[in-house]
Amino acid sequence: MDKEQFIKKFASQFEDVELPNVYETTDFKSLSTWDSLTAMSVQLMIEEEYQVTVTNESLKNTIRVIDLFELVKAKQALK
Amino acid sequence: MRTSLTKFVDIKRYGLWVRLVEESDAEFIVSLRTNSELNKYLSPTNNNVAQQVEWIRKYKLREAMGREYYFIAMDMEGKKLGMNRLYDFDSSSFEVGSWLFSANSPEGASIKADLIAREFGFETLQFSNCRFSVHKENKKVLAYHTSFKPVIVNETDEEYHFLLSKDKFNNYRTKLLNFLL
Repeated sequence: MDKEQFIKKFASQFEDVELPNVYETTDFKSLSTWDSLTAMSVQLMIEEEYQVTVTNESLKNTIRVIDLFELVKAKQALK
Repeated sequence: MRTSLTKFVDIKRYGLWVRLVEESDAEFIVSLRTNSELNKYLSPTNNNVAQQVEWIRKYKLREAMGREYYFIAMDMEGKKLGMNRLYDFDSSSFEVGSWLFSANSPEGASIKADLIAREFGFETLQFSNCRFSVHKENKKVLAYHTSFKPVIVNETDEEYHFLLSKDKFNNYRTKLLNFLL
C-alpha cells in the first residue's frame, strides 16, 4: 500500500484543498471543508480502492492522514 | 393524493429524532437558510421570521392533505440540527429537497436524516421513485447523490435533475449504514 498514493486519493475527496496542502501529518478534520459528506467520500474511496470499511466510529479515533493510512493498512493486513 | 400521516411522524432512528416542522421552528429555519456558508445553492430566503411562520402555516395545510412533509431533525435530547422536505408528489414519485444542516451537527447527522426522509417516501408513502435536483457547482452534494447511481432525467445550465428508484436507494443505503452506524 503506497502512502503517497493514499494521500493523493484522500486529498482528491476534498472540494477545495490542493494536494500540496495535505500532508501525512495534516489534522484532516480541521480542514475547512471537512464535514459528513467529505467523510462519506473518503469512506467510499477507501472501500473502493482498498477493499476495507472504515466506520464513522473509526474515523473519530483518527486525527492525522497518516493515522488513517495506518488504520487502512492494518485492516488490510487482517483480511 | 395520499392520506395525511402527520400524527405518525415521530421517528427515532439512527440516533436522530425526526418530527414535522412547527411554527416555532421558523427562527431556526431562517437562521440556517440565511447563513451564507450554507445557503449558496438554495433558493433565496429573507431573514423575516414572521414570513417564515406564514409559510409554515400554509405548508401545514398541504401537510394535512398528505401533499408535503417538512422534517426537522434533532439529536435525541431535542436539539435541532437541520431539516429536509418531501414535496411535489406524483403518482409514483416524490421530490426531496430543502436539505440543510447546521455546520456543527454531529458527524453523519445530515446523511442519516436524508436516509430517514427518503425511507419515509419509499416505505411509508410507498412511492417507487425519488426525484431531486442538484446544482452542478455543488460538488460535494453531487458526489453524495450520484453515489446512489440515480438516472439523470433532465439537465439545465445550472442543475442536474435525477430520478432514483427504491431498489437503488435500498442497495446503497445498506452500504452507507455500514459506515454510519
